[in-house]
Amino acid sequence: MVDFSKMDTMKGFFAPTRFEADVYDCEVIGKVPADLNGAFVRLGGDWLYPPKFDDDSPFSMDGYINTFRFKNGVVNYKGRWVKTPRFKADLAAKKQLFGKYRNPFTDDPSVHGLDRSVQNTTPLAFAGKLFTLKEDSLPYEIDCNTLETIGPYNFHGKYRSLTFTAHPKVDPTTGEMICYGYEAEGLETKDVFLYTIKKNGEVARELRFKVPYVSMVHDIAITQKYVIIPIFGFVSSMERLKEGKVHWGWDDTKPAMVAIVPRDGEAKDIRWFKGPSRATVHTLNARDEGNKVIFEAPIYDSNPFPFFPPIDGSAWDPTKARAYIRRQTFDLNSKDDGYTEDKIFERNVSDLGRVDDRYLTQPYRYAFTAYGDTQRPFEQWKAGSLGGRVNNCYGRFDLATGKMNSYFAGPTHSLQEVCFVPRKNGAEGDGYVMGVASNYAEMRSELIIADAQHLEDGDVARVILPFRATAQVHGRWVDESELPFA
Amino acid sequence: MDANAMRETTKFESGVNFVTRRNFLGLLTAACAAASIPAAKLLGHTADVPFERRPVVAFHMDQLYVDRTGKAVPYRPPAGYRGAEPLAHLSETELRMQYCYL
Ligand SMILES: [Fe+2]
Repeated sequence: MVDFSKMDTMKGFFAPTRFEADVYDCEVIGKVPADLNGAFVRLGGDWLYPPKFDDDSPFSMDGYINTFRFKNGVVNYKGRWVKTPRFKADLAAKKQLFGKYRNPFTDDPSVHGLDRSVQNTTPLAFAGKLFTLKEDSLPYEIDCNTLETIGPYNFHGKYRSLTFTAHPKVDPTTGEMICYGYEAEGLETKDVFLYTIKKNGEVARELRFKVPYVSMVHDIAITQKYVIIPIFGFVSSMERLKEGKVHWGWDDTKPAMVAIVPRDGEAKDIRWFKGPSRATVHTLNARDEGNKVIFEAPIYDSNPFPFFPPIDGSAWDPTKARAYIRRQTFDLNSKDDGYTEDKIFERNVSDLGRVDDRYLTQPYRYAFTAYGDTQRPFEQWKAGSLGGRVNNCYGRFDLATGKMNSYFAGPTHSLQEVCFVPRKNGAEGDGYVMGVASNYAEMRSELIIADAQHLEDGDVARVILPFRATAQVHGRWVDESELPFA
Repeated sequence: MDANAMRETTKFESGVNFVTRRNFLGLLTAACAAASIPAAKLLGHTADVPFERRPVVAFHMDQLYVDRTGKAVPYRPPAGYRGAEPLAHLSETELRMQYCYL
């Protein structure tokens, strides 16, 4: 029997949905811009079956991919589970067979050796194919029209890491993808394999190196010359896994470390820089300035995730789980391993930030992310209370002037990750801000489309789903030229 | 509880009775009749002026309809589903254990 009643967090708006859906010609408030042709692809997770352990990470939720397909002003919605071997095994057994996040020692013996990945993090359109990404395994190829799962993909056998990041970066000047796997040779290995893959999907380059300590390498940034790879206080060990713990624990004594890796260099050319304890889970962008590398990201003061608790037994500290847009400057002429850091905006924000991807590796002006504004109205009597814990705004942060423009989603809404969709041939920041809002009063999800240059004017369109869409981790806009859409 | 009552009221483990809109209005009307108070007054659509009947939007057989006599109980739209409420009591740690990104 499926029973979520013991999970206090699986109630109300947040109750599991667990169904697959097709909505043809979705209801729209406003007018869908005619120049949006393609798909907003979301990937996230839901529990097919409740987790085996109460303290497991939500990163173990089963993957669910969904698309808002835009064509000539009409939007169709489709949602499907990512049907991994794990999903199929659980469904056959009618229960959760897999244990804690990235810890196979906690699994039911019947699934020993099976790919335990859940494919719930980021969708990727590359080389004419659609993939789901999860950093503990290879990408899974997905049929972009049916959203049915095809299976793991290794770029014609040339991608040799056992894992593939959820945050590859595509260089807009060449179309090449810079991607990597960490714990590349298996659980708890220090190996990172860094790849350059041509826009036709052919692996062009592989660089192997080791990190100073096994840590989460969730996101990177690229410049024209370098790859910036942050690692920080999440630690792991085989002993930890054998003790039945979740993969990561937080070690506050670990310095934040950042590798500056030449894109055409060797492992010996890598510079490691060290700084105070931080958590750089997601990045915005980076660029070269002479012999300096300028890197910007929404960086947490400390551990953002209570499900990866401190290893010293202390309590997780929510006051340090705040992200601020910061700039880190790495001087490659320096003789020491220090770097400088500036907080660019004082407002704490969601670390799920985006830029205009056409400006990756280049000087740029705008960053976009969600944040909570407690000065905005929140109609608790309609929405229920989360004690002010909502992301009710998308902000456009002007890195040149320090000014912020904001879009407010509504008094019963909370916004998931923002996406920026450039207008074809438009200048930087000319386009749309897009993302899904949870409407706690109407118990439904609404895809927001706002003009990125006129955020204060509100949205130009809302695509209404008559249900709660599965929660998203990351979403990406895919232009119709990128995939063989029907 | 008999089958008819079960249709109108759902009893949860917490002991809280969730009363349907129709059942509630019925109970209210009966209670008001016993106390000789017009139910409409309790619903807030009269002032201290003599009761004046106007057309109202009301419920009949779970369907909205316009009652031009004003005799029926006006429909008040629900305030919202309050979908965030079941998680309101969670501490920051408890909430973020499942929702690091809301
Ligand atoms: Fe991510």
